[in-house]
Amino acid sequence: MHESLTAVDAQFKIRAYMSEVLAELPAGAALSKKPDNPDLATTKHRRPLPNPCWEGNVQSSGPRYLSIGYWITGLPAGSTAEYFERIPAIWQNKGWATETNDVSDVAKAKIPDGFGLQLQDAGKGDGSLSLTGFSPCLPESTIDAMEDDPFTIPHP
Amino acid sequence: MGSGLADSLNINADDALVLAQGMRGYAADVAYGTVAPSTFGSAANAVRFGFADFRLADVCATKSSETASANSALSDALQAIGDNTVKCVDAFHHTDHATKLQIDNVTTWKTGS
Amino acid sequence: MTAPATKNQAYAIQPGALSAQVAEWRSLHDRIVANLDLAQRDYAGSTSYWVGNAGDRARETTTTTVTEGRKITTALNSAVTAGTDGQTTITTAKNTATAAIDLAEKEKFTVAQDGTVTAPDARLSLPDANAEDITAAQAALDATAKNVYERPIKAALLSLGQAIEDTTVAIERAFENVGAIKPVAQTIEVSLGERSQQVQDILDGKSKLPEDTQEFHDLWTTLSDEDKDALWNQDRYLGNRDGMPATDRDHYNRLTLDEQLTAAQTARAEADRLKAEHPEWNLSVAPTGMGDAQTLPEDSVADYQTWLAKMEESRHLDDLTTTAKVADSASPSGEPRMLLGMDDKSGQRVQAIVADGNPDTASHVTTYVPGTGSQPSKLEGDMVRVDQMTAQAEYAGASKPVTVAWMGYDAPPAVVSDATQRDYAQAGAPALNAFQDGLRVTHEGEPSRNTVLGHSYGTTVVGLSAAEGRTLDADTVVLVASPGAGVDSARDLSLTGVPDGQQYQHVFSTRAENDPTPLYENLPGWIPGVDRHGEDPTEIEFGGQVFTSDPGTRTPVVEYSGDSHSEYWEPGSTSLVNMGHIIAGNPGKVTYE
Repeated sequence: MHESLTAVDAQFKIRAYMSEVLAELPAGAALSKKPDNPDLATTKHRRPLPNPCWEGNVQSSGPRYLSIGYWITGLPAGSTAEYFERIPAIWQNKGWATETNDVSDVAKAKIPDGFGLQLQDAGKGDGSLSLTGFSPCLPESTIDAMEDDPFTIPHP
Repeated sequence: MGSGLADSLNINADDALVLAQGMRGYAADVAYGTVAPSTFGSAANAVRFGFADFRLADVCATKSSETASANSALSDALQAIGDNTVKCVDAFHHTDHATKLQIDNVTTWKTGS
Repeated sequence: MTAPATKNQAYAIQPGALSAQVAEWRSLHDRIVANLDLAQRDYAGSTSYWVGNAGDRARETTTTTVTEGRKITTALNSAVTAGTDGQTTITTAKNTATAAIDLAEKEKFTVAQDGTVTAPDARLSLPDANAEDITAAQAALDATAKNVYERPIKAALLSLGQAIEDTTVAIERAFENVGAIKPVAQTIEVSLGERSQQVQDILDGKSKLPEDTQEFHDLWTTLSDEDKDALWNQDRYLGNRDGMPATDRDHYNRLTLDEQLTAAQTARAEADRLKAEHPEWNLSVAPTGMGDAQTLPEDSVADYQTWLAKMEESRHLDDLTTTAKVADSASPSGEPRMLLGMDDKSGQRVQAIVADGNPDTASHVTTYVPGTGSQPSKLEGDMVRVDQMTAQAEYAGASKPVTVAWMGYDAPPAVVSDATQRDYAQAGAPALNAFQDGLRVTHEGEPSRNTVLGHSYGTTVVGLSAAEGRTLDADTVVLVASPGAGVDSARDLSLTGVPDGQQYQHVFSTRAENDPTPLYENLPGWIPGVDRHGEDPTEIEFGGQVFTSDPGTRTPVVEYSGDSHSEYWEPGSTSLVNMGHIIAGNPGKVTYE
């Protein structure tokens, strides 16, 4: 566990990594809780999920790691497949360990400091790409201090 | 919906009717304190006789009269509560005890003055 | 300046006349007090059989009326005192005046009405005296008249007049507010309330609510809020009824949770208070039952019994507290959670069902059944899994997914010995089955895609809910880390609308390479051939579809690790991505073993 990492710091850092990726996408791109594609869900979660770092069902308290999810909006029409390839390439350029699954709808990046990103294609055409960020494990006591993430993260 | 009388979540008919009849009884008993055949007010005559020319008797008479009015109003209020208790039973259980008990007044109450 | 009484008045007044007046007032006072006391007592005691706003207003009005009525009795009481005291002072004053007058008149002095005393003619008592002596004697008599008799007589007459006036004023003051007393309540129009005869009969015990989920739903949706409230008042656990729309279940279960939590808190506070009063009980050492009470000093036995009772009453305090916290609408997600089930009566634990949104308007509904060790106090951890499944379903393309944490049964508390007991799963299976029926009945619009997902021991409940004569109304069944689903093959599961032989298309299972659950056979307490949970659903013989999970935590010493049993919801994990696809209805995107 990263004992000195607070949830608020981790939250901001995840969003910073997401902005970093956004910066390399075209000017109109952004991250939003609401997808461009009307058939997809406006994601329910406004605050990072505090996932348990422990295993099993017996414990109910311990370190947590955060996950934050957004839809990638503003990409050109018909470019979903292209960006599903391009974004992992961007990750690799940054020196992050990257892998894509066999079905080619999920790609993951492992950042050396313990943070991570996941890109998923919902398979419904334009606006189907979602970007999720994760933090390493951090102390549970800092969780309650978090506030909501912004509904939209604009292109930097 | 409708009047506040229907606003019961549950009301046990038997117990509530006993409650209502009790209240109507108290109302009647209070009323008998000042209404004929009660002789309330007649003691002021004795005071007049025993204190002729003094205003004491007038005061006793006047105040007794006012008290009798207030008492009557009190009795009416108690009666209204009892009657409306019956009506609450009827509203909830779709019965008609009000008619059987000859509750004629079609009015209910509101808290406060 | 009060006028003094006259001589005639002093003799004429009858203070005793006040007795009759005082008695009259006292009699009325006593009559009113008695009736008001009874009225207050009667209505205050009606709370047990007259519940609701009308009853509350009746009780409130009675209190107000009685308070007003007591102003009358207070006035009468004060008047009685004024009259009684007045009678005493008047009597004394009268006696003083008449005695003084009698004294003067006995000596032949003349007393005028105003108390002026005139001496008698001296010549009458001195017939042979000379003029000089008579003058002197007369002067003496005149002096006596003025000094000895007149002064006290005039003073007494003044006192008497004052006493009567004082009494009068006191009586006036006693009654000064009577004219303003208004016990009368206002009048408003009346119309008798409406209640359907069907509901009325249920409330009166003449009939019951329909058992069938669809019939219950059809009746419930026609009812007014007043009818619903009355039915809930009759059965506080009505919010657990399958067939009741989710919004109503949530509404009524929250009310009940609130009541039960408050009651448990109160009981626990009382128990703690008693414990603090009896440090000699040394509770940490032994006593758990009345047998130990034999060793307690006699005067603390009653307290000890009470303490036991209060601890029993508050046994669900932790579970209820967590349930309340979890159901709190200020959850990490923006949408309020819904409490679809709240039952602290049926089982040994509190059975709670919490959804992260409204299943009746969802596109995809996943019912998540946790397993061993799960209990309401662990519910927060389960809700994070719920959140993850919903998020993952969203990224997989579900337009409005909702996930429900279903703890509508007593899960076995520990892995080793209790998990081998099929009884727990048997007990839970019918309720899970009925819950799925309920979801279908209350769903609005296009049917949702429903998944029932069990984890660990929860998979046995899930399996049995679709077996042994029951048909599960779900599109998909997912079994994660199953020790055995209670059936030997996918074909033993009965799913609504799925023809025999095609069940496998709807049944998915997974386990991590390092997950120990398939090894329950080797755990102590296992008796071969007895308490079998069924085949491992990830084995080929089971015949379901096995999807991939990451291998799980490896340790160098032991190949299988108990920790990997619950890593399936780690974000970014293969298992979670696959679960999202299964929930969203994309079997083609699942990676299989």
